[in-house]
Amino acid sequence: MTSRLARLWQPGNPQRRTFLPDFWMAVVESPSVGRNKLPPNCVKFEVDPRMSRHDIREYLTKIYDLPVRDVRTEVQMGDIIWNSKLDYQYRKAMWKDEDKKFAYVFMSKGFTFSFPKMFEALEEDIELVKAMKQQEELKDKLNERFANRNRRVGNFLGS
Amino acid sequence: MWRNLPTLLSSAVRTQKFPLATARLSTDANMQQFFDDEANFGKAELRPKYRPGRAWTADELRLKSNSDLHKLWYVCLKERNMLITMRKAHVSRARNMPNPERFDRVQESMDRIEEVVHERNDAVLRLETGESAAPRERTITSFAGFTYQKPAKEHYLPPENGQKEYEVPYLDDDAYMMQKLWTEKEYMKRRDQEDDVKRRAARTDDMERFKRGAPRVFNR
Repeated sequence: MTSRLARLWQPGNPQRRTFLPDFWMAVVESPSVGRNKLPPNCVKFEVDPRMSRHDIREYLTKIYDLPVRDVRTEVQMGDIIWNSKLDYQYRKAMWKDEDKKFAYVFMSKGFTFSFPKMFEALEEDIELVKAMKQQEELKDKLNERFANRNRRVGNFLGS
Repeated sequence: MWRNLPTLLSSAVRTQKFPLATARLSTDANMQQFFDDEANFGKAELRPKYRPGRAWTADELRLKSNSDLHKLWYVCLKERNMLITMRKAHVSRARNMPNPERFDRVQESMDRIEEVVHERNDAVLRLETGESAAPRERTITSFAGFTYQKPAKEHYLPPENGQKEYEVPYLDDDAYMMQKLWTEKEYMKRRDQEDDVKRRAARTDDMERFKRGAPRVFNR
């Protein structure tokens, strides 16, 4: 706690300011195809569940200097783990994950954002290495039965 | 001291002010702040050059001015947002994030900035008003007779009858009985713990070795 808690606001008081906000926001990847695809000027964030739309707008415009046009939020309920799934009457909740808050932030026209491809190179590499290894292994096995045989004609010729 | 922050804040905002709408649209760099350096993408561990150092210590931060601390807070905030973004990206691909100790470094720094700001705030307020900057606390007694500290809360309206909680010097019957039984229970728990300690100390190697309990004598 950096300082005193803010006093309750009364009409006529100055606007309350936050000097050291401790909200967090993170960019989340959204699908690039399908019906959940977002327009290029829209960014999906996962935000601190305490944040309101107004907070999100202020956060992005003032700290990150982004041209925010509209903010829409969604709260996703965390999964509940029941002690028995199917017993709807007497089951008890053993664990519930934290709720998540997502913000779909629409930036002004002309702004484009696509989530950077972080693992693409690496995944390709892994695939490539795997394929090369498989080929190496298969090279001897592939036509084993037919190719590269010791072409002996048979024993009855006496060889 | 701390109260001239609004001017600092507004100056900080003014420097960041949007120059032109067209210029802002073309800057993809603002979104890049949410992501790590591209050299770190897909690494199991960062190269030594990119590895985190240590957190800011409180002593170092005490040398800084308020405006410097304010700027440093936002640097840390952005860094933490970047780290959260990267962790989520890694978790969604079932990977481990490189150098997760960066979280701790940032969090330590932020905690210490708060600590230093609190110290300064506290000093000013103690000098001017005689009260500390920590939130006020009240001592109250619960219905079960427990007395504890609770942070004070401000209300728009004065309390109704019986709404406000106080510290009670003499407990009523139920609370008194609760407290009596509670102390008894705590006493017995402590006694059993002490017994356990003694028994553990008295245990010999042989008892461990032969898995032997206490001597069993039948015809006595």
